Amino acid sequence: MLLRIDPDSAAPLYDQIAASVRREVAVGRLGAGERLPSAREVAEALDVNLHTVLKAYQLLRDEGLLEMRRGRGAVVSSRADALAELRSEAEALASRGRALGLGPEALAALVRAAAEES
Amino acid sequence: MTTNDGALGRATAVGVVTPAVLCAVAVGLELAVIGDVPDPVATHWSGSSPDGFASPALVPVMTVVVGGVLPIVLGASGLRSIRRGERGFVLRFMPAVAAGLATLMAVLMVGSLLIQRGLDDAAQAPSVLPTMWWGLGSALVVGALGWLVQPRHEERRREAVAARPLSREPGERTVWVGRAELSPPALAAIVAGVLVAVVAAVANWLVGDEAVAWIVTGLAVLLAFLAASFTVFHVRIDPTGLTVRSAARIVRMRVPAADVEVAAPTEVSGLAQYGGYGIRSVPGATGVIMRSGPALEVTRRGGRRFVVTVDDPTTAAAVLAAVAEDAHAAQD
Repeated sequence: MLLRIDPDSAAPLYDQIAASVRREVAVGRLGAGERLPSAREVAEALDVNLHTVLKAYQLLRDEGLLEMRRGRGAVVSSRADALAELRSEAEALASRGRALGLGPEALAALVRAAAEES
Repeated sequence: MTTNDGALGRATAVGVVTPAVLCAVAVGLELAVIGDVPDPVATHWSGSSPDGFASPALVPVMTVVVGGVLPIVLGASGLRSIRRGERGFVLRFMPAVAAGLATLMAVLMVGSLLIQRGLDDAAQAPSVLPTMWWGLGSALVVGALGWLVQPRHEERRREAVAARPLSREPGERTVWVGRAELSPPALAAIVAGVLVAVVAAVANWLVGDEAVAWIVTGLAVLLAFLAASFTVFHVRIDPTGLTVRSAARIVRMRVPAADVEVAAPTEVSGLAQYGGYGIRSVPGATGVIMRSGPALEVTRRGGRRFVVTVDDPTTAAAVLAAVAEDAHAAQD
């Protein structure tokens, strides 16, 4: 699992960690049923507080992207399959957006607005 | 990169065809004499007198499994690597071992029936030791021949293509965290082994001998401990470099970022390249090889390689290349 954070960024670290995990699921490198590395492992690697990572995992669990299982830690939920199903449509949208001169930020805002409206 | 040194054909002849033929001949001979041996027949000896007996029909079955299937699996394990153009000691050695093992089992199995021809009771069976010596001798001869008929292997591996460092923003911290795990069937087999040991321990406490119970319990605990420690390794790539450690942190291996010369995704074959699974050391490389398949290969300064099997070596290699780049830049 690839994680990237920028300690100098204004966004809270747990948000950045959660975004990293979301991205791994979105590109298909993490699939449904896969076990995430332990929060301690991630905290040591990123050199951040354990609670920061736990908060990120908590956030993702509240979103339904992760399930916490006793003894197994955090596991990617079946939402990952739903995301995988939409991947080709997302790619089509992205390439149309590129053709129209839209950047990733504008596209993300468009999708977010559409998702929040309904 | 293919070479016409005939290595593939010779390895197939030695490691697959030879065991298959030996096994077929052995089973044929066993079936020919099966009517002349007592039923049950002696199948196990302690010292020079038999102490284990079974139906004669079991002998050809065992011959097929231990003298046919097992050697062929061994002998065939390196063929894919050889076809890809890889050469090396293990790749030449495995087929020779397969031929030797098949010879040993064929002589042993056929011989153990031959010495019991015409007996009324298998308990009168003579010692199996001379048969054993014949088996070992002929196995060594066939194994050596199998080694010699194969062409010399100049050590050669598939060149792994170095990963491009992951692009990153200034100030960004990039890490990769993953696992080197057994394949699910292998894990299931180990769990089953531990369970058998636990059941045996419990059974011995209930109805068996106390001394045996202690031994079996110790064995069960040891197996469970080993299984828990060495079936999963945690792999971490962070700005300090690559760290691989076993559960409970008993074993810890590190490649500091500044020591990383090349990081590359690769494919490994446990049996053919490392002679098995686990923490392996072969000339030129150390590996944490939990299965065959995708792996991260790190070439250290000085040329020695460190290889660990992970599911997404492409990303892992890109991250490691990036942290190595940073470490080298910091040194200059």
